[in-house]
Amino acid sequence: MTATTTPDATISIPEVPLWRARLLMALSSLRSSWAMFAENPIGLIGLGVIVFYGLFAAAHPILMNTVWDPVVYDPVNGFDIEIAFHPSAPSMRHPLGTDVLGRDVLSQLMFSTRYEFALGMLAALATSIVATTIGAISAYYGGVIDLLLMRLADLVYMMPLLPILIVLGALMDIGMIELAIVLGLLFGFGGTAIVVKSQALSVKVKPFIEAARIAGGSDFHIIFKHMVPNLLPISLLYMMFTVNTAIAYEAILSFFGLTTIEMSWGLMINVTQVFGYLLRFDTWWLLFPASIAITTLCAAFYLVGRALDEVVNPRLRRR
Amino acid sequence: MWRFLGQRFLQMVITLFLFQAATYFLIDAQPGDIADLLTLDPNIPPNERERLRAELGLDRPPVERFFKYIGNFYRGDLGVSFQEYPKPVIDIIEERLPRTLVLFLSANLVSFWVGFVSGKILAWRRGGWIEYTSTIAGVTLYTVFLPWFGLMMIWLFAVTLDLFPAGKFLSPINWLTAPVNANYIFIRMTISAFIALLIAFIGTLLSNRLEPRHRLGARLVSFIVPLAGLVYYWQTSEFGALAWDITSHLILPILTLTLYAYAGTMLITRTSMLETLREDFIFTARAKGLPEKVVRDKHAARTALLPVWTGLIFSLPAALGGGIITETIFSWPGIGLAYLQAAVVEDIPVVMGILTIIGILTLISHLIADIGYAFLDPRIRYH
Amino acid sequence: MYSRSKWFVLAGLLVTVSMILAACAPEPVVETVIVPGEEVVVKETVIVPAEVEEEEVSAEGECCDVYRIGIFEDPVSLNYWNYLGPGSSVWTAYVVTGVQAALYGLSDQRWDFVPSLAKDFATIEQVGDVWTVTVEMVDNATWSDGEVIDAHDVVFTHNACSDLKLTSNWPNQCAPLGLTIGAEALDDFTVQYTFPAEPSLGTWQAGVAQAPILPQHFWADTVAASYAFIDGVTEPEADCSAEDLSEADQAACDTYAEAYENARKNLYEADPTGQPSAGGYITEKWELGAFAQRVANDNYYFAGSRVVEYDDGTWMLTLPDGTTWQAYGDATGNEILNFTSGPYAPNIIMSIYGSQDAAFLALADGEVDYVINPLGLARGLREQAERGEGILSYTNADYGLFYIAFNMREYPQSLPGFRQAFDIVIDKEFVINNVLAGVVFPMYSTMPPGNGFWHNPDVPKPYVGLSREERVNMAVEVLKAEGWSWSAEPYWDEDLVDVVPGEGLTMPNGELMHELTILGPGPAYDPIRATFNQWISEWARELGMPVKSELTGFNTILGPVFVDADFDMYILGWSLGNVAFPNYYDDFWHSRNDTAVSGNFNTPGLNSPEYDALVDEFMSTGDLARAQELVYEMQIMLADLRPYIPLFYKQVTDLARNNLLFPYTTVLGGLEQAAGFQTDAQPLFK
Repeated sequence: MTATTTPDATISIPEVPLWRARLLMALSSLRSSWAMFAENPIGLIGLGVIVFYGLFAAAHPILMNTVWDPVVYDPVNGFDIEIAFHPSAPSMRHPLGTDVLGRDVLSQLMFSTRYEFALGMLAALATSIVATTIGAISAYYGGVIDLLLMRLADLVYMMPLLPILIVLGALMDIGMIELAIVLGLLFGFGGTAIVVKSQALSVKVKPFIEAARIAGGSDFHIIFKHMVPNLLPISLLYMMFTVNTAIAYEAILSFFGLTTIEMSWGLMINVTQVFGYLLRFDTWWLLFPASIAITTLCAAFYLVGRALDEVVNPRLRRR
Repeated sequence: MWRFLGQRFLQMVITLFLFQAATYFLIDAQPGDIADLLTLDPNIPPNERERLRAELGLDRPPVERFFKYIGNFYRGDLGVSFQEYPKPVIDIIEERLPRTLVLFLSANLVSFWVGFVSGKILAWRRGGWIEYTSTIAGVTLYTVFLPWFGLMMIWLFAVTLDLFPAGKFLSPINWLTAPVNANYIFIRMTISAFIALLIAFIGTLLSNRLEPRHRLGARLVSFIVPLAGLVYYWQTSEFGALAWDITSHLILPILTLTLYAYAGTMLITRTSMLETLREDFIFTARAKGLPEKVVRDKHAARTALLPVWTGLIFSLPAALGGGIITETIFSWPGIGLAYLQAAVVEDIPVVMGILTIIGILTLISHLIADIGYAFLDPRIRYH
Repeated sequence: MYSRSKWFVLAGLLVTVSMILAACAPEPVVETVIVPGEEVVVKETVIVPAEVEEEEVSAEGECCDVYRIGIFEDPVSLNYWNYLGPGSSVWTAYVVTGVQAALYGLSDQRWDFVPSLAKDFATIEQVGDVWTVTVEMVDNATWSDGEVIDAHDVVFTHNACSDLKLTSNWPNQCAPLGLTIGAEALDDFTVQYTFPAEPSLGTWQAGVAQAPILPQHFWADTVAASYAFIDGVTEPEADCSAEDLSEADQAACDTYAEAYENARKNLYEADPTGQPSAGGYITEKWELGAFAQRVANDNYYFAGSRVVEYDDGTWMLTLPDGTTWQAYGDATGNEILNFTSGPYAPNIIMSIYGSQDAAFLALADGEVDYVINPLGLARGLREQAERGEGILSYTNADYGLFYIAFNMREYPQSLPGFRQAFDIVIDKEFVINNVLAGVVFPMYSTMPPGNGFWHNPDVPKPYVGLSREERVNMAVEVLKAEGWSWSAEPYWDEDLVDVVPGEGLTMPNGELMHELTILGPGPAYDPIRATFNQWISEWARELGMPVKSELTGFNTILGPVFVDADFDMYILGWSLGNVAFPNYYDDFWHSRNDTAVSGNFNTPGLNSPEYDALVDEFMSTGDLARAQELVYEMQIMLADLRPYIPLFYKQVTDLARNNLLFPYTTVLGGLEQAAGFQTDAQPLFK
């Protein structure tokens, strides 16, 4: 966990530009972190699943442009007219069958994957930006600002997330982006901010912060140049947990029919339910692929999060 | 201690107020209101919408309404439901809350206990396939898509094996001549189960003071006696059959929730145990040559219980969130289902009422968690 | 984006395949549905699944077991005042149905206006400038507790409704169209109403005549307590709906409103435990979230009475004591309906399941005999049930209308050519048959064809069967004739076998066409309307109109459409309710009901004096034949004015176990409309 050098120090080693020194250090720290991460097969399994879904998502546009006729395989407006009755069971033509409206389930599944990633990433990004900023500011200034921000964090933390999302979803249009931002704000302001702040407190008392302050760095400079980089690891960790929670919440909201997302895993299950196939276990392909996808991708992010936890949190490391 | 409680109480009241304000304005900022929905029928005369809005107080500005609401709230009046006008919100909560609490308290207690025991064993065995498979299985259960999981349980246990009823909380046919309503039985069941649990708990505490060789026997007794008492009580009660009817409907949702929540507890326990095992006092205990089991159960587990305890306590108010899903899948007429139905029609008093109840439960849980900390961790004292 | 040519090849294939399949399939049973009508009996064919014929109700069972009905939600309250007031949910309706008495009702299956507790049709006389309506009641009908139902009950209910200014659905019962109608009991069994205007179909037959009657001996105290709230309260002189009121006026208005509010609240929240019933069943018990129990009423006046209908239109009722009453014919021709009234089952249990899925799972398991489903049976459940053992399905046309509406207050939606162009390019048959695989049926008139008495079969359908090419060309012609122009006209490309979208569309006023939005429910709320929405905007874009679909939640549509009237176009549906008297022609399109002006339901803002004149006459006439002519004319006029373009109507399918014997099963709107025939169905022992 290395700190950036103070302005004075850069003068003493003029041969290496600052950005390069930083890059090298980041790389080496990344390498050692990776080594630690790779030690843990659990994290690797999670990562493997995420990579699989990444490829899965990337394959969709390729398939749509090559072997799949958009009229039949479009995930939202497609319809296979050659099959007399929908939903049809898995076949060569439709490896995971078709849904009630005659759309290819595999295509829907692949198409939705990119949205799940986008949603998860966006929510995680929002969370970590908000949480890191709040945490750093709160720890740096202390006093009234800290008190206010932390009471606010407590308040947001107290908010029952799912019920609030259900009210929002029921009463207004919630699409992918709105959902990501709402989740990001609620996570970022709540629990994550509290955790990041406690980490920031330990960063704040490090000597380089003091040095920067003596060197006359502005508050803004110190917070964003010196404190925030040191909070990134823990932020990253919580990003992972945000991703899986965001995906899970999207699925649940869509399942209740409370989002306006045009296609997602949760919506696939919602359509199944709307047409009365939810308790029909003979048409398992309407329910299982999307449910398993939600479960496994969430689990994968959670596993990676746990493995990262062991990297970031030295007390969990192996003896 | 009293000063601490007093301060905490004040803090809680302020936080609750802020929470109410935040949720009230959040809900209020949404487009449309229930008057639009309720008058969406051409047979209802034209001026009805405005009249209804006035009657429900929706014609006043939001700030005024909010303060009126808060004023009434602190006088113990949660208002009347818009959708079920003029039914008081408190009645709705009173009817629904026991049903949700029964479900979630039982599921959480079982999963807490099982999860803690298995998590603690798991942390002790690091590496190897046991750790990996159990972690992956645990994580998968923890992140499983709950509606699907519930459906799978219904399919397996209710449809295929036909062991339990698929949904609802009672079979009407058994209740036609029942002299009391279901909530009466619910509350009695909760109280009797609580007393039995309390006896078992005290028994376990007392058994810890006994000689090690008597301990197991005493523990067994302290579990079997209250359980037998419970069975006997209901067996002889005139409502035994009714209680059994409810119980048979409870098993499947409890099983589902337990499996779902158990994984969470297990994972938290494991992490927390791992952290604790790094503490100096564990090294010391080991160095003293204490048996591994003693180190694990006496030294490590007690400290590691802290975050698990927090998790348990916090899961109680979160019950509502999970309740919305479980209650939908199992047709369980609890507070989660009531919330969902109220939310989609913008029945603000009911939504606010239920959110406030969750808020209060959350605050109380935080307080209990803090007090529990003091008992569990000798290093923490409140003054 | 989509190549039409493939669509057509595939469509052709499908048609061929389905024809072959149809040829091989067993002949569908065509049943005759008799739809309401007085003289004209229109025959509508409904294809009933073949299973029904093979699997009959197992009539060897003995009568009768507990009738177990599945519903999805709790009633709001069992208080009947509340039910027609703020608590008017369908679920409440099922549980309290039949509790009230009425002077008149509608006949089974055909919805003819027939006496219930009245002895005969009323005598209507003009006395000076008011009209009196005198009704003689039967003198031996009783409430379930043995008290006689008399004229005082009628007057009591009527007065409570008007004096306390009861809300929601009540005004239609005692003050339809805002009229002040008086009621008095001439003797114990004669009621006389006083109308300020000539009683019409809307105010008398569909209004006061069918108003509920509630027991005075049970409710007198509660109602008296409500009267106490308004005692001495006088209507303020100032107009309370005015914007700027003086402080004194405001206070007076508030006091006045509050007094009535308290009076009503007292009534609505009163405990209905033990309220006597006039119907076949008494609601005995309600376990919240679990079930409601109804027990048979031994004092039911119509118990054991026989209803017979003939195909000449005759309706005949024979009471157990042998008295017979008939109307609408002289009982010649064939009997088309003949059943004896219950109650048959000693108990009805209405189990409350949280969802459709749970309820139908229970039906499949034999836990309930019938599921009342007002939401429309989901396809998957239907297929599953039809394959299941011992379940019969009954299919009927639904009484509903799904449509796209235009905001005629805005330009260019106000242009007839614009709306006509939409009518031309919307290929309902294509979306319904090819994309939605025939789950719904195309609609051309604003009256569903299932309501045979009012449906005008001669409403033109000029665009049925046109090809994509013809549609585009025709729409271009229509728009050009109105002064629209393109920088590049849309045309049909023979080689692409697709339309080349138009560009640079200029409106007749010389401005470039701006973007328009079609609001509609998203795929999660209703996939059918969502699919229509997407196709319609796609076709509009082919004409060069920048139209986009906005699929959203129902709550989001509500505000712009029904409150602010600020939208471009939207797609929604109506459940039309009153089969016997379609007063929605007034609500939906009369200019005085313009949403932007009065907050009523004329959302498109149609303002046509010719149409208004027709509606006004329809609402005030007492002559059924004339009313029918008017509705016929209005349908044709609306098909030309196009405030709405009707898109489709649905079918309703009811599922019941085969030990359940219904008095009849073909009825517009399905068995759900009859709340499962609680009184007349026979749940046989197995």
